[in-house]
Amino acid sequence: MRTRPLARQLLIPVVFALLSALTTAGCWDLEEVDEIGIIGSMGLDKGEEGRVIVSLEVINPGALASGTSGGATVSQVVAVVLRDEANTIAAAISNAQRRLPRRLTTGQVNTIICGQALARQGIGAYIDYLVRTADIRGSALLATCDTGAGLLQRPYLNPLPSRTLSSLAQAAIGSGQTVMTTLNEFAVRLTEPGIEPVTMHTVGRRTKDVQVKRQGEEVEQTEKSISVEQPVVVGRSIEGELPDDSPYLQPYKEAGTGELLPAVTIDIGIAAYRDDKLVGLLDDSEARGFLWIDGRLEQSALEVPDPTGSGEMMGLKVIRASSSIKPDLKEGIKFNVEIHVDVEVAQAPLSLSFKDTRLVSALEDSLRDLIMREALTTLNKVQREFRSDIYGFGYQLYRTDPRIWQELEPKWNDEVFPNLDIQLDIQTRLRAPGSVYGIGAG
Amino acid sequence: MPLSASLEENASALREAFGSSADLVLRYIELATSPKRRTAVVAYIQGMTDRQYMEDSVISSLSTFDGHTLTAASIIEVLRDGVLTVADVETIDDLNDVKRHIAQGYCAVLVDGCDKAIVGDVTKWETRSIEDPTSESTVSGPKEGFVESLSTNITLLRRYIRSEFLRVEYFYSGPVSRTPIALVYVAGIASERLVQEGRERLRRLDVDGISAGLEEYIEDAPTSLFPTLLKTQRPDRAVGALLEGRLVFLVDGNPETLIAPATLHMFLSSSEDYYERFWVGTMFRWLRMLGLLVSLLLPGLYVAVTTFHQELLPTPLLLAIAAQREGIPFPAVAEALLMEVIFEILREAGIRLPRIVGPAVSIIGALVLGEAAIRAGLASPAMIVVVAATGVASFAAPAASFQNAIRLLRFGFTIVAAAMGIFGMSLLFFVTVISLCDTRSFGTPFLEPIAPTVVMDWKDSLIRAPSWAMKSRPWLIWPKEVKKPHGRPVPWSKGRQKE
Repeated sequence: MRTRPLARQLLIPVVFALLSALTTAGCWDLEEVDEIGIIGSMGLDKGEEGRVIVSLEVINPGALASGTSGGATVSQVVAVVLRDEANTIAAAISNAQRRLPRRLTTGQVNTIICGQALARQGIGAYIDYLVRTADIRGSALLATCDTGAGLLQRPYLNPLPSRTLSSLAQAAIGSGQTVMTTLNEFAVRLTEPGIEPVTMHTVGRRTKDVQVKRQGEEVEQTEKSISVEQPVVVGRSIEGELPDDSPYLQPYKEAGTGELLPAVTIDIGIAAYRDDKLVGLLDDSEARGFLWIDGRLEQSALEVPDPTGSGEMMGLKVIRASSSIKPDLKEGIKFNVEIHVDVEVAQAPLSLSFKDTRLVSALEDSLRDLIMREALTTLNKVQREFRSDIYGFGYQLYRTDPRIWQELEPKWNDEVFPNLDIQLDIQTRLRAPGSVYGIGAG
Repeated sequence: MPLSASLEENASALREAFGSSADLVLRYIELATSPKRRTAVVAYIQGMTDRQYMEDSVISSLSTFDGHTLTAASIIEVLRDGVLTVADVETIDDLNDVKRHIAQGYCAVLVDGCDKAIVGDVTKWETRSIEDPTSESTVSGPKEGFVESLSTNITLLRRYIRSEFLRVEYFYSGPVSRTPIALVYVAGIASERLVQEGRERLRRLDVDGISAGLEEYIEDAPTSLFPTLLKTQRPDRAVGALLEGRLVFLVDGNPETLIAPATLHMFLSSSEDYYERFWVGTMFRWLRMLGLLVSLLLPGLYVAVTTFHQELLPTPLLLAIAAQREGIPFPAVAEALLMEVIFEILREAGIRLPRIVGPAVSIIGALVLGEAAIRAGLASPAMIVVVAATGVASFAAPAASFQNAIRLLRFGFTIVAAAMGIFGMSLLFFVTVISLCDTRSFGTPFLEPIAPTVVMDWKDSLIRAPSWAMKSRPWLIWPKEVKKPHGRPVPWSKGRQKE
């Protein structure tokens, strides 16, 4: 039999060490799951004198799982929004802790919303806090909004505001009019040379609750209210600050009154940053114009006029889009952007026949014109107005020739980028026009 | 102590040695010899012998024996070679030997005037018939299991290996009980060094009596939490081990045989693996490994994650768990230990319950302890799920002795998780793995073929390779010839098609 003197000697000390570990239960970071205040999302707004107003959506899990019988559920509030003002987020959270009977934990923050006013002033230091805090996920969604607290409102199709926003962001990628930026991506773009951050931009649309009455019954019975969006002029609400008395600024639900505020639906676009400062917003087709060159467009629906000149509009669906940016340093600095777009017919006038190859190529041409127009409009706006290289042309230059980049870096956004010569080469293809059946001639 | 020439002395010595035990029978027979008739005694123990066989082959042979022409010197040899029709007889001249044989169920024939005795094997006692081994049942494959009788068990092995290469060596342990222990191996495959080691350990065995629990005396790591000898009740399993060059120990009175050397992967494989397609067999193995990890770590992981590392959980899951935990009076670790202990008690009680009350207790266990504990707010549903999943997963490992080690270690992991979170669990896991690395079974490292890495042996441990692809025997148990005789599947060849 092998003797193990060392193991024998260590046996008793090890056993005692393990036993004494028991007595340390409850050490500094032990936290029972029913004793933590789970922060689902965080809103950041501009405060007085350079301070930041931090809104924390603290989730009440007991109210969320109303079906379970375990435990006594006293309150039905699914989330409480705590708000505090301080110079740093850390201080604001620790101030807010005074008013919460559970220990605040940031481990589950999945949405961070920055108010526009704060974003225009610069959010670098706050991003630093968020990245530095070990338990905040790098994959948390970072969005810009009219007011950060505004979105911590009554949610729709989801029990929690933070859930609403993060699932909206994922779904809205399909519109081809926004980007989804995580905290990590933002931080990386802040530090990488020659590329500026963009985030999703969100704006609330007020709705009106309509009572639906069931007809044909003697007693008018009120069904659950349905929220109907108020007609909003597209693009109107995206820039303006909301008035102080806007319901968006109210907490999610006043404790005690039980009054639900009108639902807010959320519309989205793209917010462009220069360094850590918001410089402008891209809305609707402008947002898509950015994505054509950026190459992150996944799906979108486009409208082009009927090439036969009937005056009707046709619907096309993007099934694939990609782009590549290539610097051309032969004569001065030029950039060529190759864009490949594959589309399907989504809706066509009944008279059109796709057996005609000329029609197909005419359609591809007019699609190319549309993409060119959208991309150039946005490019012009970004170059001249925003003066911020959110496309990453500088990054491509840096990768191709770091020495030239080093010379140009200090004046890139202000002088070089706005006057950059950028050629777009757009290739469009109508995929499988015959195999997508419609009722038209094609 | 030699036998005396006087029958009366020998008979009384026997009677005295057995303390006039009531079941010792001394049957006197008059032998027809000249010049005078002699008395013979047939000594045996009632119940250990085959009565019919005794009457036919011993008693009646002796009674009708006509030996008028015999001399005194040769009478024993004549009786042994020409009269007794017992298959297995021998002559001995030591009284202690005679006593030992009688105690084993032999009959002894002593003749007046001879200082020798004939012992014949007429043993027969009631044994259980061969049944499906309940602790290791499989869906397909043979349904035979070892029984309590050593000779039956050896027969079962012989039926699989019908050649002279199957070697059986008997050892008798204990001065009082004299339990036969058989060391079985296949000559030419098992290494001589290993066989010698097995012999040596059995020879040094110094105990009163042994039927179960032989492994405690002969294993390499007697204080280890993990078993280092594989117990099996399946002859096919034992034969598989024999053909790999391992030793098999059989103890009389115990249907569990011991296989040595045993390594970790053997505790996670089952005969079933070889009776299914190899893809399926491989999946079974991985499922068992997963089950092992689940049953070892899940409660600890649950406690660690919910009390230390909440950020690891997806938000909806955390919210669900937090909602369930609300109103539970105990910390998560107390809840976990409480439910674990209750489950273990139920399991332990369930084994010993009389069949009739079994269902009643299961109902109490399932309804009262599961459903009612949740309703009473003593445990959260998530915890019940964790404990139940752990309980089910612990049965995935086919070897019960290994399951039990995991059961015990699980409590360690739960406690450490409550004190130090995943960090503590990693530490304990590390300690466990290191100690396993240090463990050996008859000289073979317990974690072979993973540590030390023997890629050649992965074919029948991490995966279950097709039988025709297993061209070598396990490498680290010093087999004499690594190469196995066959190597390819035998497809329907073109030549044979023509015939």
